[in-house]
Amino acid sequence: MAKSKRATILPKRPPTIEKKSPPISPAVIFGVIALAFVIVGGLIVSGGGLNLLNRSNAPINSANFPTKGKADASVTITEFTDYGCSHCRDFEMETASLLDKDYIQTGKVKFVAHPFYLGAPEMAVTTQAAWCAADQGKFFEYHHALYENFGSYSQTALISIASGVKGLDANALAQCLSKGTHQNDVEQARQDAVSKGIVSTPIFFVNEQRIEGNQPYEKFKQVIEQELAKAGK
Amino acid sequence: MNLVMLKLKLATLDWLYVLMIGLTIVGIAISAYLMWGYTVPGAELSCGGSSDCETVKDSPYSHLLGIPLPVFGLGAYFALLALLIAQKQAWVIGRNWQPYIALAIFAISLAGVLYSVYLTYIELFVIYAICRWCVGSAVVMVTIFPLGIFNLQRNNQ
Repeated sequence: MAKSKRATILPKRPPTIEKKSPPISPAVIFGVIALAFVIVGGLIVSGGGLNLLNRSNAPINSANFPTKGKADASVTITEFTDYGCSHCRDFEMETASLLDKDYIQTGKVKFVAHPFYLGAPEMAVTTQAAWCAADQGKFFEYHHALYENFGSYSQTALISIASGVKGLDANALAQCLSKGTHQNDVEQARQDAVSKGIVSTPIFFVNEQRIEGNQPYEKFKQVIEQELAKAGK
Repeated sequence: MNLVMLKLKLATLDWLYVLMIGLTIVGIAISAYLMWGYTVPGAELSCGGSSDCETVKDSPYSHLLGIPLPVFGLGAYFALLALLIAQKQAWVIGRNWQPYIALAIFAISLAGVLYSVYLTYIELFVIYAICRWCVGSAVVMVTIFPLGIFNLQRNNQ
């Protein structure tokens, strides 16, 4: 009786113990460490990290860039500006008009704009639009209008902003944009600036003196007066 | 749950794991905030009254291969979180995979530390502006890294 009872009980299965694999060898771990260094190194190089090795603070030849003011003025201000940069907008809205009134319109200062893009690549198209406006001699007007509409830079918005600028042919600007007329110019301007140490915006050169960031008007005034004094004016 | 049970629960808690999960969530929160600041038109990052965060954002080092850096940060932290969760689910993945998951966690945190060191150098000596959120993310990654070493050691025996 006891025998038959035992026969009905299912034999107890041994617990399934998964065999643990041997530890990962140090060679594999070192291989992974080396791979991490290679990947990060590759990303740094592709992200322009090598530009750091040939940085220079020498001002860039901005001969072909939009200019206003007296051509032979003894002081030249070169502005490096990015349409995605809120400090560049603040400079345009707060300080640019004061400089214009006190120094540019009076013939003391020549102002050169070097529009390019540093960070967001979508700003490349906005910068191209500004160069297209420069083709029609309306760069500074359009430049100001872009900062007034800061942040809304879709292709439609760029053309709509152009139509609000007096004397600027929005259709011609749209054609210039769709043809990519200034695509290479913008890329070249960007590479030149970044390779020469323009890694934040806005940056200004008042003759050889470098001013970084949206400094108050008084700072510009002080540096301009120094340069005018040097020139004996 | 009575006090004894709570004490028992706390005593048996895997603190290394909890700390790594917590830090990863902090990293996700920081990266998400940076992502908002980088991608939403007109958004400005809060920087304690300083403009340094915007300066860093507007620099050429804020994008990699045309992609905003917070995307990479967010991706790395989400990958860490997913791997940390997977590591504990031995019944799903099998114990044989645990050391490899721990190795992947270590590798991601190492890559994160290396890139964070590079970015902090750029902020200090090239852009001359410190983005406190970026530094915050770097600190989180640098803290996760040694924990990742312990985690690998523990799971690779």
